[in-house]
Formats: sequence, structure tokens, C-alpha cells
Amino acid sequence: MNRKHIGNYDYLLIPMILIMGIVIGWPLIQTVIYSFTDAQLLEIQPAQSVGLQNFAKAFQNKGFLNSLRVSGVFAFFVVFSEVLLGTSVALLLNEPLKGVKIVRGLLILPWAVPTIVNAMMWRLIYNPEYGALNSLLYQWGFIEKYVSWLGSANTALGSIIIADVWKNFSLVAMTVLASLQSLPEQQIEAAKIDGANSWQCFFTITLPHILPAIEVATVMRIIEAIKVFDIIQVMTKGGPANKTRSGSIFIYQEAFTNSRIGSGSAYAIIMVALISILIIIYLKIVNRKER
Amino acid sequence: MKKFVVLFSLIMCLLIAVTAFADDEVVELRFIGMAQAAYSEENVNDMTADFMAAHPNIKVETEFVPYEDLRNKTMLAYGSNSPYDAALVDDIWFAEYASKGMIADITDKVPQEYKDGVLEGGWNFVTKGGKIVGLPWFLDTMYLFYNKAMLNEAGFTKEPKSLEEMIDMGRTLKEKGIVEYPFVFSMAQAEALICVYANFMEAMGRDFQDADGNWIVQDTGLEPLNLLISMLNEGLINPNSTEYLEEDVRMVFSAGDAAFCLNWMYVYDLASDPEQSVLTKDQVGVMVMPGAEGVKEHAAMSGSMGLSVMSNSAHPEETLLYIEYLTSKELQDAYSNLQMPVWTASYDDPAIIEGREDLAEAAKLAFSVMNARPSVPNYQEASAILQADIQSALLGDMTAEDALNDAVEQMNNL
Repeated sequence: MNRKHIGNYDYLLIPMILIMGIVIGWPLIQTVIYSFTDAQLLEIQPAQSVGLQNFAKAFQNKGFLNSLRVSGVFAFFVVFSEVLLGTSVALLLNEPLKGVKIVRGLLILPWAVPTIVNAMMWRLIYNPEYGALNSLLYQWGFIEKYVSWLGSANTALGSIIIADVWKNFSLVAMTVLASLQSLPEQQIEAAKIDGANSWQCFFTITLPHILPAIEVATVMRIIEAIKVFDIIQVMTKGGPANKTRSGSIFIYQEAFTNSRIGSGSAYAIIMVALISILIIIYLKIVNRKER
Repeated sequence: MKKFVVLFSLIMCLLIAVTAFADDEVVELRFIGMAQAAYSEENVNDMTADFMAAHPNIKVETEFVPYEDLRNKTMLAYGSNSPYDAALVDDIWFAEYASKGMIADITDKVPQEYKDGVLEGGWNFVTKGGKIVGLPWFLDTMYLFYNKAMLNEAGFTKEPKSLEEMIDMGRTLKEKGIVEYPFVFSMAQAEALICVYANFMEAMGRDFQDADGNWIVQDTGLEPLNLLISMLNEGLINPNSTEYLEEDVRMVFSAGDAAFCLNWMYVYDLASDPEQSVLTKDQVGVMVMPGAEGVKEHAAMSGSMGLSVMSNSAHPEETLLYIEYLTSKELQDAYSNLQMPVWTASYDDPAIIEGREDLAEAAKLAFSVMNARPSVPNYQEASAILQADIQSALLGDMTAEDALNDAVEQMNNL
């Protein structure tokens, strides 16, 4: 089957392009249009054009800038922890240990748990009156009193990060494990025959082999982590004292709680621009891999 | 094949015609309410089923969302192709909904018996600009619940008469080791925090705004906020309170881990429900929050809700009929074990107040003294600003003065 023959069926893509245009393209265009206006949630008065005013205000808005900082801190620690933990677990599960196949199967469970369920579950674990974490730490003598993990400015964001890492590290682990499975054992054996120790084998053969998989998983997780909304909304709603209010939550509040669709759209466009930069990096990584 | 297609088309046309004819007979309404303990979804659905049985030509589809989502969902639906006909409205949202023209003016349509029979406090919050834009569904305020057994153990035989006495009682309870944290409040970053703060403001005779609507809370609110901070720092208030909503507070109080809590009326029955609480009925005390010495005797802040006809309802007459039914005396009396009725006469009915005389007494007093939170169109945003800044002060990130100054500066820019 040659390329010309396939070309006869290009029109089969039309439904997909149409649906994507309606579902993704039109809302995106509408958001861009709104971002240059003072549109309200309820159009009591017709929206007026305000030029770049919404964008200019965004960079002077302490709340928005702080929410971007929260998103950045969240994304950094979440992705760093997930990659470290995920890669370590993948390396462990690649070893011929007893029962490893069962553990590999179980690995998918945290990732399969819906985010809302995960958030509710961790809220119970963190509960300051009867939560399992407090109980455990108290029994082991690490804390003298039960702690309000989600109610304290110092621990709230960290507590959410742990909950997110628990859910998503398995995605990284599965991606890296898949890559490890394709690593020919002969390469390691040959290196060992040549006198390489385990560390040398890891840094010169294994790591370069799994690096593209780690890069892809990392960029995908950065994009997801920066957009974080649901887990924070369920666990703290951005509190205490806005310490966990991410960019997405700020945009939601601006557009739907404060009814300012115009400026909310501008903030969303800025977020999209930031995420787009990461997508470009992602595409460059993929292209490099293909070359 | 052709015959089959023709026959199928004919049957479909017939079915559509029959359905359209049948639809002419039945009016379909959509109602959005709140998922709460009382009236619960089940309660409201039962009420609605009774209404539909009495009005076979009206079909009501009910939908329930958590309080935190109720306003946004109502507003989003209002601007969509499938708006609600009737909505549950918190007293703080009436000003905003009315200013946006979302809720219908029913001043001339409210039956006289409602105008005469419903408590005055009810009409206060559903009347905006001299127009009635809703029917009061339940009147509520944050009551002060207290653990009588703990107070007795500490030698207190009477409830506190003032704010200062209440705090002193808590201090004594802590010193005697009866309870580690005498007070538990809902102080998470949510409206519940503003309700607690507003109660302390009320108790100390303070206002959020002056007569012209200017924010003055940076001055008036300083002492109440500093009082809450000092109670937290002294270990009188459960430190987990900064993460708690009302249900968390209820559970802590019901577990016997607090001597005092501020909460809504629904807690009264649940706090002595053997399946939900370790407390017995005679251990649960309820009263209106006492005022500060020399300022006022009692303080209450409204947390009432009403039902409104949305202004873009296609069936306003039927919708009004539905909300009239939900707020009718007969129905409210029948469900009075869940919420105290909004009807004045109900409070003199022995059958309704039997076994809950103390709650009825507190309610009657509260409804006569209660004030509202600031009634401004952009309340939701102003509240969100206050919540964050008050929490910053409670958590020690900012001084109370800086927090309130920052809040007022932001609110003035709205």
C-alpha cells in the first residue's frame, strides 16, 4: 500500500478535525476573544474591548502571581519526587525477584484511582482527629500531638504533594519499566565481563537507555502538574490563607466565583502560554528521539 | 425494505405527536437545592413528591449540590440554555442575584397569609430594594452549643451570660484538665470562617461597613480578630479549627472533645443522636451566643436561606406555587424536627416545640436579634478576600492589623 493509495482516504479525517475544531478549537478561540474584553459571567451589559488591559493587570496581580508560584513549586516537587521514586521502583521491579509480576500488576492501582477519590482518601489519612498518619506518627513518637496537616500554612502544600506523588509515581514507573524491558541483557553481561561494576553498568548502559523514557514522562508530568486543580480543590480549596491556591484554581475563582470571564480568560491564556512552552520542549524531545 | 422504512417513519411521527401532545399537559420545572443534613435531599424529594401528587400537571426535577457550588451552578445555569426555575438562595446572595436581575420580583404575588404569618426576620433578607425576591425557607443562625456535662464537672451550673464569661469558663475547663481544647470553630478558608468571625463581631457590637456601605472592618474588626488569635494561641480553640468546616466541628463536639462550638440548628438533634454522638440529649445545651459585657446581651448572625423564582423561568406561576408549597406552614410544621419553621405561630405550638423547648427558646431569641453579613453585590469576592487575610492572621503569617488593612484595600478596589 503506497502513500498515494492512503491519500484517497484522507477525507476520513474530516469528522475528527470537525469534532476537534468544535470541542477544542472554538472554546479556545472564544477564550482568546474574551481575554481582550471585560466580559462578565452573566452578560447584563455587552462586553467591551479593553485591549491588553487584562494581561497587564495579570502581571500586577499579587494573587495571580502567587498562584503561579504555588503551581511552580507544586510541579517542581511533584515531578522531582515522582521521577525519582518512579525510576527507583521501575529498576527494582525489573529485577528477577520473587512475586515481582504481582507487584507490577499492583503498580497500576494508584494511577487507576480517580483523582477525586485519591484526594478524599488522603483527606481522611490526614484528618487531625482520627487520621491514620497522625495515629502512626504519634505511636512511633515522631509527634507529641495530632497535627492539622491541611490546616497549617507550613504543611498543607507538602501534604497535597505527597498525595499526588502517591497517585502518579506509578505512571513514571510504568513508563521507565517498559523502557527497561527493552534493554538487551547481553549489553550488561558484556560490560560485566569487561570488568564493569554495578554502578558503572547503570550509569553507562541502563541510564542512557531509559533516559528518553524519563524525559518524556517528566515533561508529561510537568504539564499535568502545572495545570493542577482537582486534587487541591478537594483537599483544601486553595487554603489555608491561599497557600495552596494554584493557577488553575485562581483562574476558576476569577471566572466563575468573581464572574469576570474577561480577566479569567486572560489569566487562562497566560497559563496556556506557559504550558505551550513546555509542550514545545516535549515535542523537541520526541523529535530528537525519532532522529 | 421501502415499506418498512415508510412504516417506521409513520410510527415515529405518531409517537412524536403523542409525546408533544402529552407534554402540553405537564409543566416541567427544575429546582436546584443544597446537599445538606436538614432538609436533606431525601426530605426535599419527599416534599416534592407530595407536591407533584397534589399537582399532577407539574413535574419537578430536583438537583442538589454542596453549598460551595450552589451559587456558581445557579449562575452558570441562569446564563445557559437550561436554567433552573426555582433556586435555593443563601441570604448573602440575594443582593447579588437581585442586582443582576436573576430572581423574580414576587411582591404582588405572595399570599397575604405568608406576609402576615412568616417571622419578620425572614422578610428582611428576601426583600431587596423594597421588593420581595424570595420566600424564606429556613431561618438559621450559628448557635452556641455547649457540653453541659463538662460545665457541670467544672462547677458551672448555668450557661455563660457574656462573651468574657464564656471564655473564662473555657479557660477553667482547660486548667482543670476536663477538655484539652474547650472551643472548636469552623475556621477553614471558607464562608464558615466569616460566619464565626461575624458572630464575634456581632458579640462585640461591631459592623463590617458604615451606614454608607464603606468598609470599616480594618478598625472595627481588629479587636474581635485579636480575640480569636489570642484564644488560638492560648490553646482555648482547637488548633485544627483552621481546617474545619461545620461538619468537622459537629463531629468533634459530638465526640465529646469540645465544651463549646458554634454551629447551625441542624446540630441540635445530631449532637444527641446515639448513632452519631457520644452525648445524650441532657448533655447538649444550646443558646444564642452571649454578647460582650456592657455591649449587648446576645449576638446572632443570620445564616438563613430562601427560595426564589428565577426571572427567566418559563413557568413562573407554577414555580411560585412550588416554592409556596415548600415554605407552607403545614409542610414546615410537619418537618419541624429538622428545621424550625419560619412561621411565627409554630413557636407557640406545643406539639412542635415539645422536647426541644430550649432550642425553640434560643431560636425565637436569635431571630429577634440577628443581623446579616454585609449585603453587597460582590459579597462572594469580598468574603474570599477576608477569608484569606483572616486566615493569614490566625496562622500567624500577618498581624491582625495588616491582614484587615490588606483586606479592606483589596475590597475597596473591587
